[in-house]
Amino acid sequence: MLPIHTRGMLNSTEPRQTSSRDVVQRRPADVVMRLDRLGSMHQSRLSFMRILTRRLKTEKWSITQKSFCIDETGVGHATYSITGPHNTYTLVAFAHDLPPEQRSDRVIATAWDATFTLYDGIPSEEDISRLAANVPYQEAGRISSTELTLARANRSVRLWEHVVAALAQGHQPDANQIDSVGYLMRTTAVYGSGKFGATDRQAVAGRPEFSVPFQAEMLTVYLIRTFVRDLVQHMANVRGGPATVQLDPDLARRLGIGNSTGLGMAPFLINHPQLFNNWITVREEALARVRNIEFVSEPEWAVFKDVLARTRVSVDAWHSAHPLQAEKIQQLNRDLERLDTYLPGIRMPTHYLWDRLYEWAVSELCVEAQECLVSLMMEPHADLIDGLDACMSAPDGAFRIDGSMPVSRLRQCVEEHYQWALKVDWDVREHCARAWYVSEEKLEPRLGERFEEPIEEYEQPLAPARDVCRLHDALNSFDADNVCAEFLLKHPEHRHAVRRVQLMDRAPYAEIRDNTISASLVPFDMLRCKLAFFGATHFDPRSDRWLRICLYANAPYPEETASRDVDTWVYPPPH
Amino acid sequence: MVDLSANEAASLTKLAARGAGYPWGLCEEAVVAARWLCSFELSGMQALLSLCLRVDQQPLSTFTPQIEGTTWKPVSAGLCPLICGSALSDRAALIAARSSITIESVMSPILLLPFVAQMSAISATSVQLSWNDFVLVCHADQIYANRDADDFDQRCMNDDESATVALQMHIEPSSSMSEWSVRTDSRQNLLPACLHKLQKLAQRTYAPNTEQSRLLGAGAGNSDND
Repeated sequence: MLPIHTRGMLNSTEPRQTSSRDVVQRRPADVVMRLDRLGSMHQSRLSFMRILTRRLKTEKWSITQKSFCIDETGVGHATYSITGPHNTYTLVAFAHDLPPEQRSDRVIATAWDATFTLYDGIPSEEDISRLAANVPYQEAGRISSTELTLARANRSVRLWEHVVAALAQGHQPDANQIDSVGYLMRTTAVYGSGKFGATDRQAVAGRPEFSVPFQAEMLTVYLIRTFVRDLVQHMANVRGGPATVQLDPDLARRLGIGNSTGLGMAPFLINHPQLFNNWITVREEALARVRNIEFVSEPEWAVFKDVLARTRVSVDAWHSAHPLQAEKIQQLNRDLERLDTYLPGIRMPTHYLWDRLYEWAVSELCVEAQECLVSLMMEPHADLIDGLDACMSAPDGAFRIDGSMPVSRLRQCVEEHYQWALKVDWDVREHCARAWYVSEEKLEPRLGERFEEPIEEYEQPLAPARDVCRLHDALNSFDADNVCAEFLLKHPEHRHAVRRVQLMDRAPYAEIRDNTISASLVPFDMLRCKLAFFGATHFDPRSDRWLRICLYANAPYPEETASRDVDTWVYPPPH
Repeated sequence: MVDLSANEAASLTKLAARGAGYPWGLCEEAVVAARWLCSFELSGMQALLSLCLRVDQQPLSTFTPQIEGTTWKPVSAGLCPLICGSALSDRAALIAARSSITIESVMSPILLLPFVAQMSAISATSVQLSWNDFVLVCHADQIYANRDADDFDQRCMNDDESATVALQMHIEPSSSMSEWSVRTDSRQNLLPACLHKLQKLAQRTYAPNTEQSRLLGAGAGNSDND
């Protein structure tokens, strides 16, 4: 499915592999696609945020604050235009005065501290008026084919007040307070790809800057961060007058943008199996290439040790009150310490160092630390890995069913790819205790208790394992020599499952290999996996289905991209 | 007219079909069909609405063809173009080897067209389809017809009765036929009344809100002042 093996496409990223040793392959889907591993994933070189910031520097994108019409109560709008080699995009930001009782991160909220859209080009006054009448209302408003995204954000009230007060009083805010929260505002939704009338991804996917998924959304959040920095300074200036100081750029850089993510993100991974397969394939290909390197150079080894040290700083600052996450962070801290202790025993040069280190980690470290190590091992090898980003998108639309496939072959595919699911007794209540549905209230995706709530008839197709097992039952009582076309004419109810099974035969990482309706499902594992691909850090579950994260902490601001590191900023400076 | 993005149109199509009682796999086919028709500026979603209102949660077996040789017959009422179309696409190679097929009493027959085009593309075979006084040929990823797309669309919308559709394989377009052009913009314009009716069908797939659902279903509190 992916052209990864195509020499022409990825010439510069061929594995450096010289020995006759067996080549390490991509890890099996049965290992990778378990929810506990997907829910332990970390950002990497292939994260969408880092791909964006690298591009901004390479292509010398420039940013201009076009307007800042915000009054002394903090209400008004501002525009920021960013220009690359081919196109200009403008963040149109609206700042509001939000009563505290209305501050909710839920989809069902109706007002926010700030609302945004990313305009395709430079908006006219008429455009701004049109957007002002729609963007602040978010889902209740309407945008058009000239807008790429729609987003909103709420303040961290505590840190916002601290920063405004400190600057207004003529001194810098406390770095510890900045680090403990991490952001002045957190987005509670960043909609793209045709939502609420916006332009479709397919309409802009041909532009180089949007060839990688979620680049418009990542650009929006990146520009929001700049706006938020400017807005907090503005509010401090209003309060403090001439006594106000400018926020120290080094402190400002520590501020990211928070994000509050609910269940709406979880179905994405199930509803976009080809895309998900491509993301995971690229990551696994990157790992395989690294493990196949025969000798690691001293400078490469130094890069690894540097990012490991900086990761430890980052993990030190990662806090969560959620018991599951708190335990994982504790384990990660302990295992990174073990890794640190293990490294001095390695003599350079070591044959296939990365592969040995990976194998050691698999036998000695927790899954969270293993996946962290996977990301760190990729860091020194931009030349091998970064070109893979071209393989992370996927064609739009449903995969076409091959009706000529014999029923016996389809059944074989099920038994090959869903072996784990066939072992589940789906009549046991705990194994199908949950149901995914969409509430009529603002169409919020929700997860309910199948046997306790009247939701089953509204169930979304988000339990592929159960559905494929039902398909398998039906196949068992159908003529094995017949073809899928005949089976589907008799059993149209299995068409969705047949499509998934046939796709899996070509895209082994397309499916989460765990029960997504089990009583023991931890939904935030699904959210975390997607957010790790965005490049998020400091995952902080607020419940089993609600997660806060931080984006762009320590990243250079747009005007700093020429002079500062645009690649490894995600790792904070060492202590 | 209401301007919808392709993503919104796809989502609405899928949920409206689901609301009419189609299983998810056929709802996905409905999305493909509506999007294909839209790419030729044909009223795919209007046709889908008309189909959904007729199917309206009745058992699908009622609308499934009985295949007898080269004739596809209805059991009782008309045949569903999504079921017949999917069956054509699933049998592409098999059907390409035949010379003709007749599908009797197809509801909203315009919805069969995307599947025939797909079947033609998969099997690299020219296929002519005709019903009433329409004659269309799917050939080398292009559509040729005995009238232009706009005229065809208007007539289909005005006369949405079931019709018997004849498929003939290996027929190339005649020189008098007009070639339809494909739009690059995939957005859709819908009449507000059509949009409203599709939304009503889609609404059947949303669970009524309850306090338990509101509090537990998404797992977060209602205030986030911190």
